Amino acid sequence: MALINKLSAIGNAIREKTGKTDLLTLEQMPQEIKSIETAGGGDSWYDAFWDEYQLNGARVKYDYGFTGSGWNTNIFKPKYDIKPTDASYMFYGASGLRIDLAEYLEALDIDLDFSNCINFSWLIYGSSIKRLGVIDMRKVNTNNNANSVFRQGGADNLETIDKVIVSEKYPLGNNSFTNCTKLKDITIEGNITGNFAIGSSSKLTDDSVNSIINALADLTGTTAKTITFNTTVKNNLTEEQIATITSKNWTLA
Amino acid sequence: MEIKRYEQRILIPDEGKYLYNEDAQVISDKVFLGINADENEWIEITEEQKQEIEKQLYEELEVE
Repeated sequence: MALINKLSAIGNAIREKTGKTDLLTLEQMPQEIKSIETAGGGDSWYDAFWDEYQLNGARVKYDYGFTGSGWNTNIFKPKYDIKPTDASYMFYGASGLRIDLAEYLEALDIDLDFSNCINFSWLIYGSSIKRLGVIDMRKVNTNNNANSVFRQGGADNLETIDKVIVSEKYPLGNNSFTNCTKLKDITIEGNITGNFAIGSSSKLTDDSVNSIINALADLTGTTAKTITFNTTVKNNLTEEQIATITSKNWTLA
Repeated sequence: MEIKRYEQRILIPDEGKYLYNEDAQVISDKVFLGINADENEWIEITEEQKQEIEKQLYEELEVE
């Protein structure tokens, strides 16, 4: 079922309960649900919304799932674990989510597992998320689906990515870290095989820089690729680190 | 123990200029070439050209 149809179904369910006929925005839905009087009381609005929205836990297509500024910590309280196959635009423009996503979901006892996900494009662009947990990209299946994954716009709040498990066949696109000016901590697992640009990030820790350098695939005997660090990071690299990069046939820019 | 030796090639543009790799879409003030990398992939550009390329790259990003 397409997202718009799911939202319409939620809207219809709410109108059925309230007897109202007006169309509802996503922001209005929780309040409308709260206003529904129930015999049993309790969290029936919460269950009704999230049972429908997450298909009783069976939902896997989360493209545009939490898109838009209307999502905030009053609303974003998933009931079921999230194991998306499609996470494109999942938190696009979610400027109301100024959260450590990993910690926040852990507190809700919700597991966000990307191990089945094939599409990560524009995952958090325009959101206010400060920290991401493990981003397992091994099942990405096209270059486009690895485009602009961590790219920032607007809030530019991302400081930490616990771990990115990269795909060797479809590496992170050149725009994946565009405008990540606050990014400090990142760990890469797997081999980086394509041009890698993280030139906006001047605050990377030594551990993060070493993790990236260590993940560069050995391209000896093949076409050289380019890794782009921020000038501040590049100027702080040791001769040994530069030698490690270039001896694996990577050009450092 | 194995001792490996290789030549570190560094491209440094003339003062006030930059290096540009069109394929990688990268502009840099200093480039350390990979051991087998082709230095001809990099051209020297002026500040004006840099601004024009950055503008183009930004516009391409915005229409994605």
